[in-house]
Amino acid sequence: MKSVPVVLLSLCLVMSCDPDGGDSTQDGGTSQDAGSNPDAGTGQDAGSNQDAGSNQDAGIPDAGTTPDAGTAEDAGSITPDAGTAPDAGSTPDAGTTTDAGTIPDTTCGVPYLGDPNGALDFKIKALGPDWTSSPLTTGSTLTVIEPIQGGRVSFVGVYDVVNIDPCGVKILGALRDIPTGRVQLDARTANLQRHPDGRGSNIDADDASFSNIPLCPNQWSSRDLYDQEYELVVILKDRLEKKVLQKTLTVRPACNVPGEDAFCRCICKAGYVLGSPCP
Amino acid sequence: MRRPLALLSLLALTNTACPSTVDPPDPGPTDPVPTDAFALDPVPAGQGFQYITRETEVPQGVEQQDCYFFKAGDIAAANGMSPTEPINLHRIQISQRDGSHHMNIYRVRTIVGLDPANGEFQPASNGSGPCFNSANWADWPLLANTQQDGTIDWTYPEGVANVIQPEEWLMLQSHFVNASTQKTPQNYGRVWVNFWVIPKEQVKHELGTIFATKQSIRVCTKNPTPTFDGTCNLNNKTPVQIIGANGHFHSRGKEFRIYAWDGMSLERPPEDQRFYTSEVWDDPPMKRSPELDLTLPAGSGIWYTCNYEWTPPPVGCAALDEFDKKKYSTPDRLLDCCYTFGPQVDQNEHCNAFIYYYPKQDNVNCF
Repeated sequence: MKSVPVVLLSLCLVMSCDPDGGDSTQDGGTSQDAGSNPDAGTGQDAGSNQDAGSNQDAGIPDAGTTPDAGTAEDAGSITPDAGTAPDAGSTPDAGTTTDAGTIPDTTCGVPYLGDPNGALDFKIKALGPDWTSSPLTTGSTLTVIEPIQGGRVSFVGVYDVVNIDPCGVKILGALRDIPTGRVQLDARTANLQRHPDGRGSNIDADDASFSNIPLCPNQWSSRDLYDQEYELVVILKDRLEKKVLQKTLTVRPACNVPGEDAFCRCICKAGYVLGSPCP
Repeated sequence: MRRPLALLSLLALTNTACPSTVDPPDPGPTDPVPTDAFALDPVPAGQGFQYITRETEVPQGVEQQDCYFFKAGDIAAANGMSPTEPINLHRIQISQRDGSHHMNIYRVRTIVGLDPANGEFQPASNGSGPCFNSANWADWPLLANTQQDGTIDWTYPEGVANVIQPEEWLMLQSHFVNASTQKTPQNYGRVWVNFWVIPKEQVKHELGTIFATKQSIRVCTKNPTPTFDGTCNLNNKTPVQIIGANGHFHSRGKEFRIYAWDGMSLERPPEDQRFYTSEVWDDPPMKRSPELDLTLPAGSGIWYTCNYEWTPPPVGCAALDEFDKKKYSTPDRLLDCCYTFGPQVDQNEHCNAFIYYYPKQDNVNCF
């Protein structure tokens, strides 16, 4: 998690941090849905995993008593308007009307997202210069940010996630240099939050839940890692890796964090040599 | 083993008053030179040089991370080497007192918050101070490292040298821990490093290094067994030989794996591509040549994976949550007794890979 100025958080709360007003244009690209596995819904074995309740003696929060696990935890995150999305009819049911009795328990206290037998779906988002997320569509700007240990990464996540256990999902983000095919990637285990519409997303205030794609120092790409088109790949898997979905977008990375742009451009330029002087 | 008077003089050059260091224990009147079971014999004149850190006090409850700065040419010249010729490091010996968490040597580059001008010795305790802030050496290439207690003695393959320019500043970072999950039994830390060189006419290949790290790690009660995967491209135009590897995490770490990777695939490489495994967080193996001598074809890289398992924190959940709030501004609703990214072993986690290869393309950092 990264420090975010209070004023930005406040602004975010007012504006719902959804500058595009939802995402009706996202290009699913080369999505490959392996979510048709008939066992996907029945393979969830929440009961055999961590017993959060048993940790109470250690002062550990009890996942089972999380007061509002089913509500959006992050006011700063994208809140897609499923009801007005033009393609709402073609997207999988979020499961909000599903018989609750058929929804399996989960290990992290966040209810299942949608229908265990439904096809996994999601859209792609990323943290911007103000550390709040925005949807990514074909041609979108992908912000290049300084993380805690230095260098530069892009924080890539998902939203409008449906038909998946939100606990312990695996999210992989990769940026591909189109001319050479080389990629840099980050994959990690995370819990998704559940929104009132029953769909899930990464939590803006928890950048550890996003794929932290390592981009700079640029010692891997044949081109500058800004103001050029790159291929962004996101793969989402459920905890048991029975549901898998990959999506691809063309994006334009940008050194667009105010005050950091010159240094960012220096260490993200093609041919950068580690330790070279930068402004 | 003895520390020679010449080295005592050298050590004295670096000694300045500091509350976290003490004079070595008095050896008594019959033994004017202190002995230490961990001390290395010195490098003969003209064949390299030795660097010895201070005797650093590490009392119970303290994590001591000290940064030492020295100009390579100065130290080399003090042991009979040319002050103007490159130093062709071919063999490195490192010895540390018990309780060492790590010892890294970097080449100093961009100065952010850690400046050699502030003194050759810059100590830090319990997570505070610039020697604990890794962003301060984000573009400093790795030169050498070890995490093991006792002695590492590694001679690179014939003709391979890590070339150090005489005007280069180096930073040796020593981290000793005397906390709940790791102990420093003598309550004092110290490191000895011997740099052995070869003449330039014997150098056939320059050694390169890779340092890769996962950022924003969190190991929490509601996500208790996370896995983090990362990659690092070598951008090599020709094949290279991987000859050294070690991984670094803390006590929640269960398995650290490093694989050869083709630089393009989105799937973790198959197990037959794995060349490093560590399941021992506090004394991880340092795999090195001649046992490790792996050819990577042109356009390759490495893929590394860290698995964790949450355990009750020895410092208590309140301390972890407090750190999470203070360091990362995590809102209350997201506090979950999480171990977060950072250097302190009782409350933070790391996932760092250190790789050595030749011929050098560049020293590579992957953040």
